[in-house]
Amino acid sequence: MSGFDERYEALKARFVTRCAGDLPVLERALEGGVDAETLRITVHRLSGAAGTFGYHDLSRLAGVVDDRLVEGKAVSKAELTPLVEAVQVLTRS
Amino acid sequence: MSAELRVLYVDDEPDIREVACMALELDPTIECRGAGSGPDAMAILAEGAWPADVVLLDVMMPGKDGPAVLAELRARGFKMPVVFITARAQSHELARFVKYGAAGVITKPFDPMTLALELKAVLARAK
Repeated sequence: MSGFDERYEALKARFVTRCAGDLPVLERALEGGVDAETLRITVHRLSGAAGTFGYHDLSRLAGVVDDRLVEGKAVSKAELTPLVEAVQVLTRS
Repeated sequence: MSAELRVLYVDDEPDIREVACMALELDPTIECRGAGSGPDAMAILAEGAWPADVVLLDVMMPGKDGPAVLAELRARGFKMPVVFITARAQSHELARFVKYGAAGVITKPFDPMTLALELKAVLARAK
């Protein structure tokens, strides 16, 4: 493994750890327990970072929620659930 | 050998900042330094010891966002090209970013393997 690959994999692992830290926020958001700005910051970061680390589905799901929030629209449970499940799968695998 | 292109990458996300600089430096002609905020970037540039040729600037950052940092750079007389990097890049937003004076826009998520090429292509188009 090259130096780049080793560092990239270490950063990727750190990203997954950070996702685990974001999960309670997302799970609370499902129950309406998180304000829109906190949720927007969380999903925006996920959207940008996940794809860079190769988690393209997660990036896309976060982007959908990010788009809704930036447009000032409410996010339904149905829209948020796939993102929460994707983060659960990533962090608990 | 000194780099042909010194890139200052400004992003509040430390992991993304590190990946971006690693990715850019896969190109041996590029040297990259990271800054975690607009004020951090301003401090590096104001010091003058490492004159950046281009600033790659995240749009959505807490505190001072990308457009505000670009405005401050210009107000302080820094004339190097600034390229925005953002996860939000709908067409009307792209036009807005260019209106601010950005040389171009790169969208997140970026592919680490092609980031340097993408940056150079944006800079070439802006010439």
